[in-house]
Amino acid sequence: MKRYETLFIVQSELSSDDITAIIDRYSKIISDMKGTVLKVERWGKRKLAYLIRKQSRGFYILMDYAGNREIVAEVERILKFDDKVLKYMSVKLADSITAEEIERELAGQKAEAEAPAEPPATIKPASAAAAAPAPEATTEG
Amino acid sequence: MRTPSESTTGSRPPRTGGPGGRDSRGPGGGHGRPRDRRVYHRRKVCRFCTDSSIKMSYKDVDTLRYFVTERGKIIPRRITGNCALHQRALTVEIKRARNIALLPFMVTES
Repeated sequence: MKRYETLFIVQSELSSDDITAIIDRYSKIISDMKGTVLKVERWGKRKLAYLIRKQSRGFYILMDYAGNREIVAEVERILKFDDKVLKYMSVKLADSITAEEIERELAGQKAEAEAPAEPPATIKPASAAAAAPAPEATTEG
Repeated sequence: MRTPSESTTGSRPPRTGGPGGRDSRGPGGGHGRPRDRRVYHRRKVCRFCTDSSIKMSYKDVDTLRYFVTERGKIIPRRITGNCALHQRALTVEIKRARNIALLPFMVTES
């Protein structure tokens, strides 16, 4: 197993439901081919450095996954056909990733996901408030 | 080196072409100190070597922008002072960022 990440740009006008559908679609392709999705990041709408298909804005999505090269080939093949996708790029992050590392990665994310949920329950409203606007900051105006 | 003597008598006609001609103006500058042996130069250090906390990634556009001109060209390492290893890695990351439209290939002035 190797670790890859694919960053792709979809049209900026899509609704968040559409984007969720796209992410689900590619996650399914990866998991169907016995890969593991480690992380999905939505960078949000960004201005493109140059026009792609006459569009100056795009929605960036990053998928981090473990798998073999067949998965990358398949994901890229589908991305190529997808009209909503403006551009994509895959990068190999690590030559090998063990099952343990995958689990640790997923466990770490779970802990992270649970951590922001906890502070409001305890006595940390300040840090929770600080954490809340952060994800929104990624979307540029 | 012939730089000190040249800086004092700048108007001297015989000047051999080629590499020597380059440093005719640099070191001494205006102040008439003929024995200025050292050319002023800033100590350049590779910022990736000194600060290992900077992670080079095509996703980190703000860092990459520092090593690109306003027109989008990669700044040579003789200017930035990067070490060869990091400059090589940096160019790869910049080119990746260009590919996915995070950095421009070229900026045309309007």
